[in-house]
Amino acid sequence: MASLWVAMSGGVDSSVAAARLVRQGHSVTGVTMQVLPEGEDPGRCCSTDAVRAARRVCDHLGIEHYTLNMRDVFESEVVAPFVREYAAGRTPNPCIACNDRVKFAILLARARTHGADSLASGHYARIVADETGSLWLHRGRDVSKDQSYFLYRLDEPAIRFVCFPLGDVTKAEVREEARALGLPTAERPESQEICFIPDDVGSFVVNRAPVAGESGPIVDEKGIHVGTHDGIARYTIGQRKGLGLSGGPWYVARIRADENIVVVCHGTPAPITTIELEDAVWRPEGHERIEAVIRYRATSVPAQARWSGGRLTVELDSPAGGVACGQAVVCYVGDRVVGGGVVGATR
Amino acid sequence: MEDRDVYLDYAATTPVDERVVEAMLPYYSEVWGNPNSLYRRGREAYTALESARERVVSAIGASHPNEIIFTAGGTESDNAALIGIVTRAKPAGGHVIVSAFEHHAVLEPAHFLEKSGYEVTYLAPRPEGYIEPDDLRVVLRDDTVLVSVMHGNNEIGTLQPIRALAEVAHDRGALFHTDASQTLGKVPFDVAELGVDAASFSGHKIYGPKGVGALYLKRGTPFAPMVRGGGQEFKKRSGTQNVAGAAGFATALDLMLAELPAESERLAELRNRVVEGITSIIENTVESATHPARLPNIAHLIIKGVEGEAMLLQLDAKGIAISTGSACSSGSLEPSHVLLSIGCPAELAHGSVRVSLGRYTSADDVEYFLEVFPPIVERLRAMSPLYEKMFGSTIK
Repeated sequence: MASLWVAMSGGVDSSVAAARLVRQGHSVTGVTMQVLPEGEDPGRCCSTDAVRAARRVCDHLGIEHYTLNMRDVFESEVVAPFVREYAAGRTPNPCIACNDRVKFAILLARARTHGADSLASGHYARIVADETGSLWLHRGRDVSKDQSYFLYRLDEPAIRFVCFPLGDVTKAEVREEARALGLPTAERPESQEICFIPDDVGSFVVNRAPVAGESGPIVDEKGIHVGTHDGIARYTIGQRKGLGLSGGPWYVARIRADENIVVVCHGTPAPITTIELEDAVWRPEGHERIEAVIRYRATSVPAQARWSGGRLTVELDSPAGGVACGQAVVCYVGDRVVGGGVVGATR
Repeated sequence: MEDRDVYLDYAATTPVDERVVEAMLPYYSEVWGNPNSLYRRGREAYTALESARERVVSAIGASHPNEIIFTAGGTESDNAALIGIVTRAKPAGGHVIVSAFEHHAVLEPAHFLEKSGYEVTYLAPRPEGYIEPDDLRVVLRDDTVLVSVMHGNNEIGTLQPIRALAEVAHDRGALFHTDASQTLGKVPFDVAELGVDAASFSGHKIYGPKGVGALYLKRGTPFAPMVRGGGQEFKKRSGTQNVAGAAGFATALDLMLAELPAESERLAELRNRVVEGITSIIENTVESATHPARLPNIAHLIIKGVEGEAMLLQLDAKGIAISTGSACSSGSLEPSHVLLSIGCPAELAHGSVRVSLGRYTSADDVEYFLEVFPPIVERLRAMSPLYEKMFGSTIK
């Protein structure tokens, strides 16, 4: 019997994860991170509502529950960087930042402090040992729900401490199990949105970084003025809808934040083959044949990864479109996560 | 989880004393009439309600039964006092003063008044933890309607010089309200002696039931009711009265007063033991407020370089209930506005613990706490980068 902390978001996945651990006879404590200022949350994961839901589940399971105040750290490590990046014309992934900097960093440290042997969560991912006994992050068995993409930054010490009870099950089985157990969260809808953004991303960013809401020129690739934008925060790379331009179809190719310019192109995004990853993590040495996932839920594509001097470069075998700066690219060998990073330059 | 169950959070709430439960039971099953009905059943309930009211009148030194309004608790009493008095006395707007370290039950209605067009001054306490009457004198204005300063602070436990503050307010023509939720029955409280126009009380802080409180409103004090309806409670708080609750509140208060002198001496001794124990055993700990006038049952300490939340969880695992800052509805923790108001840096405010003692706290409980707590602090500090930053890694 181990003593575990389960990170509970108030959703059905973490509820079932907790239930499974309880059934296995472990000593389980539910914890919910409160990350948003009270009264300001849009009522999604980790909101006040979610805390209540998690407490009800713990009550149902007969285990302790703690609500931990993570507002300051969530603001400084997730929300502020998201706004900064977005206002700079990039497309950051706040869920990855939350896992990397908050959940599997601060919360994990707290679990250790309080004597837990492991921190569990309801992620669809697996921890698998190789022949030498090293532990690796693997895709979850339910490919359609796999969340290893969001967890690629977990290092080995973290991987050794975490536990994903849903790695081998499908979402359908989880719902079924939640219903069978009569968990109060069994029918809670899936959250797809960014938890701290109440309506649309653009307004949120503009509200916090007004400069990203100032109008400016839209130009084509030759620099010819084709229209006016109402703030770069309202545009993302690859966007086609809502540009309000004639003579289309147009899509957003680049955002030049320092000049407050949105660059658009005709047709489809130019395919790229080389992706330079910033702030990258990588476990094997040298060159690797890998499969790259260039955004969440994208089909993996074969590629060559090159790791040298702390820089990771991914060369796709066939050109691909829709790679935006700031997005994460995650590298797999089979189901195993071997590295990844944030898209910097592409060619 | 340990088998020990040591409750050291009496400032958050108290268990209902069995004698209080006994006193309430008849009003659920036997004397259950509506006290406003004219027939016998109603008259019985009315008698019970009015007898409870009279006991409260004499317990707090009020002069007339219609100065006591039963409410649903301290928060309602505070809301009614702030909003009811201010909006009736100066409907067209005016100035209100509240201390910056009031309970949210006073601060939030003050914010509401501010949004409704009144000007509000949040008067800062001195770093020792009290409101200085001279400071109040400075911020009072000719159009100040109401001053509200709590009798005893619920977090740091300091008592406020209410009599002097009320005098200063009256000199300038302002009314004076005090939130006595935390002090009633624990230190002497007499509305006439203190010279206040309004005061708030809570049942569940004095071994009475939750959901019951009272508001003292001196005769002639302007007041607009918040809860309107059938005109109960002298048209100041409509709704069929909670007779059992009122009886419970009055009984609880009687018991508090009967036991006050001996109990406050006993608790002060235990409290001092907690403070001495912690500050002598654990280095880099300090009492948050130095003001000498204080509640006998609250010890509030800053444990430098440790998160209050971490201490709370570790103590919980040992069966000990304490609080960091004040309890809040979500069970989450915010840096305390009280500590910030007395000039405590946020970094230290996060590492505070409130140990509050009560009727069922034994010397043995305190010793158990003092045995369990220091190793927890030591362990947490050993893991705390913050502590290392503040004092170097000099853990013994």
